[in-house]
Amino acid sequence: MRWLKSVYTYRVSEMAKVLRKAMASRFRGLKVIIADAECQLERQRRVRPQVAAALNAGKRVVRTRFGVDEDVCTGDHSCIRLSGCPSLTIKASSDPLKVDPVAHVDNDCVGCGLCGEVAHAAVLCPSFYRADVVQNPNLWDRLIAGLRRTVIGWMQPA
Amino acid sequence: MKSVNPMALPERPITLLIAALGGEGGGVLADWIVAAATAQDYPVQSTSIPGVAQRTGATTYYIEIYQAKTSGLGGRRPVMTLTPAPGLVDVMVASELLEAGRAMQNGYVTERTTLVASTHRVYTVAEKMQMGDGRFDGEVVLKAGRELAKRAILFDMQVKANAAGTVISAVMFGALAGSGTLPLSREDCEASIRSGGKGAEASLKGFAAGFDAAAGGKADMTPEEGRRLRGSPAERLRPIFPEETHAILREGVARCADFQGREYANVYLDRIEPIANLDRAADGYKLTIETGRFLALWMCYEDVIRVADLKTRRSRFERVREEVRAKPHEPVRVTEFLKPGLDELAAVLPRWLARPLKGLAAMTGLANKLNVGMHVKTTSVSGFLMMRFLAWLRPLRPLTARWHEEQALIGRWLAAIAGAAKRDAGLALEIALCGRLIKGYGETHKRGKGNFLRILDSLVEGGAVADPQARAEAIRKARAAALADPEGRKLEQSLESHGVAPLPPMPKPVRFMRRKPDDRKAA
Repeated sequence: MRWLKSVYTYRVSEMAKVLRKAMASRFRGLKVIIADAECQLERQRRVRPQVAAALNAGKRVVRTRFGVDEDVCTGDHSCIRLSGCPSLTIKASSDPLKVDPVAHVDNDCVGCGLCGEVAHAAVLCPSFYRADVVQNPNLWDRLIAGLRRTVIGWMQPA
Repeated sequence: MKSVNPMALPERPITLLIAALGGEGGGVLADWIVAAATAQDYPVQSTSIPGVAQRTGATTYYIEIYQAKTSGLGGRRPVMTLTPAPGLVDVMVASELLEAGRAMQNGYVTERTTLVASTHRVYTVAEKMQMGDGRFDGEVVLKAGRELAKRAILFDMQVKANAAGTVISAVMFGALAGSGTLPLSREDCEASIRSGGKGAEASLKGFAAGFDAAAGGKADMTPEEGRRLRGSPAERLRPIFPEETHAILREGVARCADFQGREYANVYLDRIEPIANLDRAADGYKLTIETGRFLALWMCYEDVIRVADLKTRRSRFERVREEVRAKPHEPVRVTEFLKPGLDELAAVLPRWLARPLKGLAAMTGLANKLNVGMHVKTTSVSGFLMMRFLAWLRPLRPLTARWHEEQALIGRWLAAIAGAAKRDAGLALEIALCGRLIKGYGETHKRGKGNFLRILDSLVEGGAVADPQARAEAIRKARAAALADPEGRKLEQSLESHGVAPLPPMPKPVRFMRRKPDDRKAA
């Protein structure tokens, strides 16, 4: 195989770039792109028991999930038009001024990050965030977190 | 003698009752109105009954104007009354709040009446002579006025008169003219003031202030008004605005104060006040509520400064922890997905820098290509500092290009609402609701604003549909169409049905992947 590229499936902008490159390439002949990532639902089925066991054993596990800042979201739902994720849904805005519902990531989120990637690739909005929750944090985690919290706390408005 | 078709003539004259205290120029006001009506050749009659305002009642002036030119009546003359009759007053003008209340008590303010009254108080003897605090609760009067009248135009005319260096009667005349209830134009009224001679300049200034406040023109605050009103916006909210609107307006005030400070919250109230004056109790103050809602959201638009600010607050950190269900001892690291581009940069630059930059970008075709993807860790010290630095730019926001752009468009929108409110409440509400189209970021925002401007240009400011009710319906449909598809085709179809030439459909880029001919040899 002379033209072969492997891309991490969930990096949307990377993927788009490689597809474009494949189309415009000077190379003539078969071009292969390997979308290299596991189905996140499949992965969950595999990983969930392992994570549960690790947590029970008191081991450090980082859980990732995505979210939308509801005060930054303006409720135009472009992200949902582009992403078909079942966890990316809407909820009534808790802001009494906003009439339209805002985007919301529910707790079924498996942290694949596709929603954020899509919003990023399409330059939609800055409402998405990724949260890494350190479960069973070790001493170092706690030390760093405490330090950050303190320093940030000096400059942070309510 | 010309023959006159009696069916074409108005059945009754426009009736106007003015209540003023001594020295407030009520007589001068009556004279101005009579002179203006006479200059237009309208039959007019004026009487007055002296009163003892501080004790039993104001001096009142009663005027009837018959809205048909004398020259066209062919020698016939309308029969007019000398005294006002309860239930038959079209416009009630009161120079002071309690006098407005007295007029209501006497039955002069009914569903046919436009009430034009100043909200300031001159305490009566009965109030002042009490051993304790005998002051009357003015809110009762405000509430009653809004409920009883067809329309209530209520604002502090005294402070505007002081600011203009004139007497309250000039501001009352302005508010009366601005209310649109008289068959007299602004120019007619101003000419009548000028012909009065003495102190005309100051009177005209007061007239303009009253006219703008009532007509919903620009809400420019004089420094003196500013000082007087610069208390807390929340306090200001209480006496002036109807209770039904408080929930939304309080939110709006808080949002604007949070966005750019207390001064900005006052600007918010300055902007909404003329709209509230044009609103009616019968509609549940829906116009004020909806305008207040979208005005607050629009005034607090989401630029990078705002986003950075929102994302670095303690409350937000806590909300994220809660949302991702982190236990108290578990550290949470938060990463933001930001991709600012040229537009976002230009938005926070001063205008003189932003304009050439945008022009250059458009020329070179780089406008949408320079977005920098950033993953910022807000929970780390460096990431937090970077975001916080952006948020600290807040005081400089009024210098930015985006600020100027948004404030100008907000002004256009409010002027359209106020203009419509005088003719048709339904139409005004539909225009106000168009504020909903302004949302999103980047391209989404541009598209929403484009749709908004399209409706504003064609249906609101343009004359595509003349009849106010049909126009309101057209705007409602266009708004729904604008929200129906992202490409804006439905909107164009909707506009086309009213004879607005549709814009060509938005081009969708088709990318041709072409190989150079010499590549064939290489393959």
